[in-house]
Amino acid sequence: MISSTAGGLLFGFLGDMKPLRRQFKLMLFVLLLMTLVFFGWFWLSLPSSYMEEVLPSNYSSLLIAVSLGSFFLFGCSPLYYELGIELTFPASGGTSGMSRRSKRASGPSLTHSLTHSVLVAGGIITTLNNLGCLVYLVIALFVPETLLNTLMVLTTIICCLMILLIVERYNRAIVEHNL
Amino acid sequence: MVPGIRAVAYHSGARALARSLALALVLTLSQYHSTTATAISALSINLGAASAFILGPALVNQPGDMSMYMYVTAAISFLVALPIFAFFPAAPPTPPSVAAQSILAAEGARQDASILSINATFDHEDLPFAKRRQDSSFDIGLAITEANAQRMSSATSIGAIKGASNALFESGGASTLGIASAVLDNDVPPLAFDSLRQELWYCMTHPSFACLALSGGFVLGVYNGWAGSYVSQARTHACAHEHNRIDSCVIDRSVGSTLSSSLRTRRPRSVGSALRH
Repeated sequence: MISSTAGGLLFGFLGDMKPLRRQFKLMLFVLLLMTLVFFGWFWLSLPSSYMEEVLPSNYSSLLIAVSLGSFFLFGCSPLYYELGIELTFPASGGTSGMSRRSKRASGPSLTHSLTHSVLVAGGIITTLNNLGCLVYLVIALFVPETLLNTLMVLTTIICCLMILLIVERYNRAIVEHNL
Repeated sequence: MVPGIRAVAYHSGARALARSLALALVLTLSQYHSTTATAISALSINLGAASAFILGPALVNQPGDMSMYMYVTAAISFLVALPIFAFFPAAPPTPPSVAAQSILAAEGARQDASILSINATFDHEDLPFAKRRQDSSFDIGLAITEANAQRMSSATSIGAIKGASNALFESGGASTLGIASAVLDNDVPPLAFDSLRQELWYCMTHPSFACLALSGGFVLGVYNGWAGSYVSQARTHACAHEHNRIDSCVIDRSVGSTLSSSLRTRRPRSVGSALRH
């Protein structure tokens, strides 16, 4: 948990660095690959139903594998949110209700629309996050427990490939930094 | 929990207490550090969950203490949430960033067809809402970082509360909590409900975003469930060790063999998920 928090903060900070500012897709892909490496190590260190353990393991090696895996995995977390926001940036187009609110001059109610733009994307990712957890728990009821590590590794691979399908577009950065 | 408490302390009148910290935060996190701000808010959830590992063993000594622990967690979450409902401003006094300001400017311009100063134009063809914005332009001014910090700390405190409440509603209410937080975080007035639906639809039908959200949501969610099952197994073993004095059932032995032996013995799932936090 601590290492994942540290990873998230570190890569969140790195994502703001100038050379990496518009490289979220590459960063996500690399981070997921690193996650895959460490979870793969963990997976190969433990026996499963269809094979014996491949790599030797002890307490500290497993701890390092899981810690570094979650370090990189949670490094993805802020990048997912930020890239989601960038992709869907103008999604704050208001209809009647919003317009009526925004007509009141520069009052605080104006900013309701911008909480929208940022948090609709975040809300969807959070919902899917919890949904993924739920789906996993349901699957785990029916799958023998020896397959759960494999499931985690497979999920990482699939998500890694899905990252490749994304077409990057930095709608917000265009406005923000006048690029 | 700590960033959340700091944010609440800042906004609940005890400004002197947290002012220096908040100022440091404001100075550090300008509009160029939105990813850092997101990281802090997203990972305060983890920090809340990590605090459960300290709070849990401190409070729970026997199985009967479990419900007491739940009540304590609920009380803490409630106490943290209370000042937010009471004192937290509905919105920052000034737009937190240039992008935010441009959205507002666009809305204002669309509303009364007043043209604002033209500093940046949008790529109209790419955007679904572009038709409505054709006459609008974007006013880019100075972003006031105080407001940025307010937005960020609101997200931070909400994240910390979510972390604490996640400990309560872990698996069962997970998706409900997600939907609720999506709606709550938006601070949606009933009048604007149409707009929210429209935005949700736009986001969900955006192919790249759908890919991203599915990938990010599922990899993190599955990790949570997966890690949780290991934590609960470790707890089950620790409990068995403490209460039955079974020396063979220890964790400080080679974990590889402990884990593999625990994998072969099915444990009751409900006990496992209850013990997770």
